[in-house]
Amino acid sequence: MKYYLEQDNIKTGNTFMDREVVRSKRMDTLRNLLIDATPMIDSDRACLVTEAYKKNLSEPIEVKRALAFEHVLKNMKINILDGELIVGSLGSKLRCAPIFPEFNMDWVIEELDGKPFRPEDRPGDRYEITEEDEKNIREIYSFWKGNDHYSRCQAVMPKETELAKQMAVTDSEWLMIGGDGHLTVDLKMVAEKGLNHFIEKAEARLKELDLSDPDQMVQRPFLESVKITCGAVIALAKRYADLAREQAKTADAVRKEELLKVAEVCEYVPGNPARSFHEAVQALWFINLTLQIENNGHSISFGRYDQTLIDFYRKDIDAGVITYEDALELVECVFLKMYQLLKVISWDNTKAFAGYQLFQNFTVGGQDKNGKDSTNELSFLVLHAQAAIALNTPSISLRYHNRISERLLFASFDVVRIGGGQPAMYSDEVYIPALVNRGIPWEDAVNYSIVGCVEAIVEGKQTGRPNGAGFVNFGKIVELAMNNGSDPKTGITMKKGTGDLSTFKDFDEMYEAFKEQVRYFLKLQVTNDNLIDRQTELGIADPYVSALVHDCIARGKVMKAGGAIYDYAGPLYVGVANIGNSLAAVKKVVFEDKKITGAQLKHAIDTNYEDMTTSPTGPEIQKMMLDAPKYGNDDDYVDDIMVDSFRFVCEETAKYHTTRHGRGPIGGTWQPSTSSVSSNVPMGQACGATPDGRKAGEPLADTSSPMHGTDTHGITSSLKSVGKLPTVLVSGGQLLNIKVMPASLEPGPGLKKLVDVIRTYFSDFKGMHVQINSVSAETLKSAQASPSEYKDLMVRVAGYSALFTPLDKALQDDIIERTEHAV
Amino acid sequence: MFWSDKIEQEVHGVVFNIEKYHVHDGEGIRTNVFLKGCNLWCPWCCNPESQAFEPQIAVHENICTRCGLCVGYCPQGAISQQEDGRVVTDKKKCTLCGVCEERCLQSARELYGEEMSVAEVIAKVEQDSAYYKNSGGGLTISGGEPCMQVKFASELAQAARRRYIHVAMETAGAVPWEDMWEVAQYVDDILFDMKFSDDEGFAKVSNLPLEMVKENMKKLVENGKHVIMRCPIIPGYNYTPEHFDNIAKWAGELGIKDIDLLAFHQLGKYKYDSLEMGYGLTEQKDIKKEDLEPYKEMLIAKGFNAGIGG
Repeated sequence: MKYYLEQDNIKTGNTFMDREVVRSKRMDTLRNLLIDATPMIDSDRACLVTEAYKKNLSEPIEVKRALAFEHVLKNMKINILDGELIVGSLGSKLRCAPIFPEFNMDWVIEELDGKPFRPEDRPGDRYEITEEDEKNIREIYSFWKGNDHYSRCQAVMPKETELAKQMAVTDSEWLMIGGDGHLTVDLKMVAEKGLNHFIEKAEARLKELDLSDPDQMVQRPFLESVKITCGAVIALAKRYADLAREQAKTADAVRKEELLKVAEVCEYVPGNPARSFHEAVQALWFINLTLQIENNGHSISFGRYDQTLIDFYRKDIDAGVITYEDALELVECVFLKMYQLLKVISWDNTKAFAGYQLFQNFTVGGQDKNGKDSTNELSFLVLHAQAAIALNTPSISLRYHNRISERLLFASFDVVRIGGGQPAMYSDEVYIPALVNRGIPWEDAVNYSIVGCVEAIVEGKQTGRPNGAGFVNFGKIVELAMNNGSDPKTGITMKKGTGDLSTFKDFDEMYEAFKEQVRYFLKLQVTNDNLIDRQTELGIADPYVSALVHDCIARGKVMKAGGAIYDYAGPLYVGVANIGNSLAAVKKVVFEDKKITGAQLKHAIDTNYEDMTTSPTGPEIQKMMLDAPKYGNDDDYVDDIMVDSFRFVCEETAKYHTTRHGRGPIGGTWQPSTSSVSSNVPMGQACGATPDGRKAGEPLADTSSPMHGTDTHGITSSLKSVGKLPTVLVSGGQLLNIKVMPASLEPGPGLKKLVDVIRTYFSDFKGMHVQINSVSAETLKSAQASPSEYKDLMVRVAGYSALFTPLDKALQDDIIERTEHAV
Repeated sequence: MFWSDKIEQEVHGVVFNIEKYHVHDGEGIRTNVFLKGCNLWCPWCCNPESQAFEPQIAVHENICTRCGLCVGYCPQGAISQQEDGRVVTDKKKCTLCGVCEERCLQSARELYGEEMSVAEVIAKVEQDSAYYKNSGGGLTISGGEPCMQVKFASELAQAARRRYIHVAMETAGAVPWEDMWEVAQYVDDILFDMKFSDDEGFAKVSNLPLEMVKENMKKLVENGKHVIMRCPIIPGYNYTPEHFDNIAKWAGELGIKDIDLLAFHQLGKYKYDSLEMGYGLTEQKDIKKEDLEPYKEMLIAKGFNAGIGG
């Protein structure tokens, strides 16, 4: 049938592949409706989960979780918005954030009490809540207080965890109040075989089980839960089919036909194998939506969308069932569904994950297992949909490689020009070897896709959260190393050092002191996160998502118990550039040029480079430290120190095991990642002045990017420096933000040169990832001053895009500051 | 290690800027090496720091906070502060030692011009080799007038060639043919300024004959060099219909195919102030690129590859 109607199209002003991009009236109306919608906290899911938990107190955890999930899907309020072709949302409100009381409600109640802010008064990422929802939420609190994932985690945490959090050196709190997410399930199998296939597999396994064997006995609750959860999803789809038929009764002729089509689709999928492109798109959406309802994890992604759906697309095109424009309309509908999704997390954590972001990726491009370019019609269609919808979510990820279609590469830059750093670009030339290096066979490594910011995952075969565990604040670790292990701000000493800046005799002694702090805190971070993972296994279990990941059903266990074929976990490194810059500055100014002594530097840092009574004065010492070689200028003096210290950090992380090690999966190890999300701002606020010339409280360097304002030799030098890092070790994903002037992206010879820069970064320097921000600082300042005129202005934060105006002012300022150094 | 090391280390020149990712002139991604010193005195020059052959100290008034610290830093006592807070440098006492530049907390003082060896310069140029390879770019030797530092420019071009780096040169061409060829023989593309097509006009910026410029251009073409004619269009100097006709005439006579029209802009104005140099075109409005479109079209109609840059 015809989904795309040409009349009353809206011109977007964007150009994609030499044509002006338009939005249909349907898409434009829906988009405006959602952009103007106020994010709302919703109590529906929370109340239903509470009812189910109360009813099923004695069930094994997998079954208890499955029954709660089923209860929500069968009773949650549902709606279909006018014009929607793809249906299913988190609730009846336009932009609706459910509450997940089983993880933690303490922060919800505290914030409702105004500590530190009421949800509607937050400095950024605000939410409103109706009186009724607030009443419901307060009512259920007594059941969950002390009886949630957070409390179970706190019960097993060592006392060091809290001290480290107070110092802001490591922080895993968000894992205790949030779910896992961070994966792509086997969506291709859902589309091609339907959820009934998963139910049948579980039933077959249940029949075989010999319950007298303890190893088999323990598999039963999970296998039962597969039937319950998959059945519940099919039931939800049928509820939407009923609703569509109901709405069709009163709709006009055109809409009636659409709604009856929606009903037909939802009646059939995701239970059965999809028969058309429309059915496959809807099936995948239902899976994504329901994964969002099982737990409050984010970064639940769509994988290699162009590869998963191409056969459905070509079949319908060949049969004349749909046109390119019809397919585009359907995918645009999915994009708006994704924009609609919201999850509220505590204000404290929101600062590190700012921008109403769920980090859900569509990956396009890449190569097949024989190294052949995978570009197809849908690769372009996904980019086209982004050019038309142009919002901060979903995240579009382009897999670059040396044989990539030039047309696809340049089409990507048509989308980059629109702003918001979409698509981010990832290079197979590093990701594939990095995954192989961790033990993933080539055939599966080649099929990776992106989840979250920069994490690579093998779809449907890998435990979630290949990175995205605790934060590690390297700015603070540098500070501790320079102060004999003692934190100047809190007075806490966790790992006593062997000296401070005034006593280090040479660079090596200082470097070793730094390494000693790294060893201690990386070990602590892994300890914390493994303890949390164990509590997730025992108290959350996530049976539904596990059902869709191999070989959980065959092994009869959830991912957190070792059900997946591959398993890795990674922390989030913050302030990587501050390590090399700080070490190099001390080496140069104190140990080599001997311009000042270590004691003088220590005093200057202690006084935040502000003491005017010393000679040289604080500002003069700061100038010396700022003038020392800085990472991002292709200067081997500092880059060597960066590379060496970074390699040490990476290898230190990879020494440790996850809780699944030896329980089935290949891997079962920790792996590094430089995805810092937006935490460089709050973590910088907790750090004193550092020897690289950075003053107390200022943001740390984001991701693996050079410290903003210090890469003064242009983009080629900057990327060459970053390319020196041993990225093949960073299998959890390396992240790089770059800023260019909008003019650099105008079509023509200038654009070709920018593309060649990126090509060189990926192909020659083995860079891993790049995202290109192109909005000018002036525009951002105008948006800060008149937010209502810039409601859909996108910026790239760190591994994801955000609408600019709802962000906290401190983060807005950081983004403006970074943007001012564009080339 | 290499036979060429010695000469690359021995030959020095005065360089005032090395700019990477230079993408506005020439093919691909380029590194521009700006040689200091020029034998013309074009009043519209947007790099006035390129004109003098010796290094110069500049003060950026918009950055300077008038804190006065540099007065104490200067070992020669060459800097003083006036009543209004403005800092002035006594050029006679200043030895260009660079201490004030290094220590100024605001980076408001800038020393233009540094003596560098060919080896030092080529090492910086070579850092971006991978970018040149992928984009078809390379080194551009610019100025000032590169041929005024003939030995240095020639050795720099040769050093680049030895490293398989493409070489371009920007020149105004008002030098003896021997000097021109000493550099140009090692250069692949020559971006040749055509400032005036009449002797009277050219006399405003040079005391050399215009014929010499035209002759150099001719000989370069005859010797098989790829010459791109670069025409700065300056109101009050050469922004006349006759000049555009002459551009076409010259290019036709000489067998030059590529012509770039460069629109006058005021972007270099602040540098005159920082160097305490007079600037005569303060009131002059920029030429919009659109204004040059008809002339570009005229040149294209006559069969040239014409573009608008600058």
